[in-house]
Amino acid sequence: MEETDNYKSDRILEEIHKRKDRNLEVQKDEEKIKLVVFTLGSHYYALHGDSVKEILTVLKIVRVPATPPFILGIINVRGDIQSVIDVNLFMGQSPTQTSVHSRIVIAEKNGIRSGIIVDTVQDVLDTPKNSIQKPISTLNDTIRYFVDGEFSYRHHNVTLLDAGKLFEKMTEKS
Amino acid sequence: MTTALQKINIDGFKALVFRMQDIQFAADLEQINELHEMPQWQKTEEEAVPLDRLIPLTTIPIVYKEPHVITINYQGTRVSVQIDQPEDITFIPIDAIRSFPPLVDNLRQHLWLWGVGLINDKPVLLIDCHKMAAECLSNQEAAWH
Repeated sequence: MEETDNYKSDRILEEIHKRKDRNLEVQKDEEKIKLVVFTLGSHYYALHGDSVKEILTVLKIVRVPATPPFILGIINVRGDIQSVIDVNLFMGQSPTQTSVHSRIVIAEKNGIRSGIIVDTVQDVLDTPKNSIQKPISTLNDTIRYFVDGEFSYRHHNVTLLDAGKLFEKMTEKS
Repeated sequence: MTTALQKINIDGFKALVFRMQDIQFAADLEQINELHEMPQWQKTEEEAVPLDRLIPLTTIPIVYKEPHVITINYQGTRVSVQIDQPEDITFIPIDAIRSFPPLVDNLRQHLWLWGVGLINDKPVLLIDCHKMAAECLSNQEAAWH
């Protein structure tokens, strides 16, 4: 066999290795985003990690009369008063029931800070930005406005919410 | 020269704390003229507006446990409001007063519910009795027309 012989199998293997290396390089460069995954009923949702300031166990919520039902009230967080909202109620679903697993996720975006009551906080994860898909077309327009996208997490479809747009929409609803 | 602004005590204010159902409210004592127990008030045969008619607390009218009436003098007119369960008279220092968080501030219906006082670290809703009296009078006027 001559040295110049170039077997097809060798060329294929070479190409496979090249592609693999290229993929690794792409993955290294891939921008990752931090997400906080939580549940509301049987649905999985997430917020961008940079908009989540802290996660609290459920504190005593003081009702503020003559505000929309999705505003559950206010809480005292180390001397700061924060509102607490129920996203389920805002989206026209049944109210979120609190349990020992419930948490208040304090989110802040565009100068508005509020607590969001959730059933469970599942995870805080770094995920490649390109794993976020566009939201499904069947979502109604009100919800679609504050949905940033969707991704898969442990065989669950997770809806990524934009806290800023959610707060904006809530204010608009008045 | 002493201006009106300088006269305002910015250290805080003495407040009447009362409870309506599960919610604690506090009103500046300087804005309250009188506080009457209900049986004593009924002798006057004057009408008092139940607070829960001004600001619905539940979907149905509430049952008052310890009804009292506060009177407010606003621009020469006496306005009477029925409250429930007066609990305390306490000084709320300005350091313990907070404005409403943005979402509540943007969505609240009544400006006379103006902020939050922290009493023993518990949030208490603050009422501006003068603004509330103004709303009562304007509601009355609207009803007459």
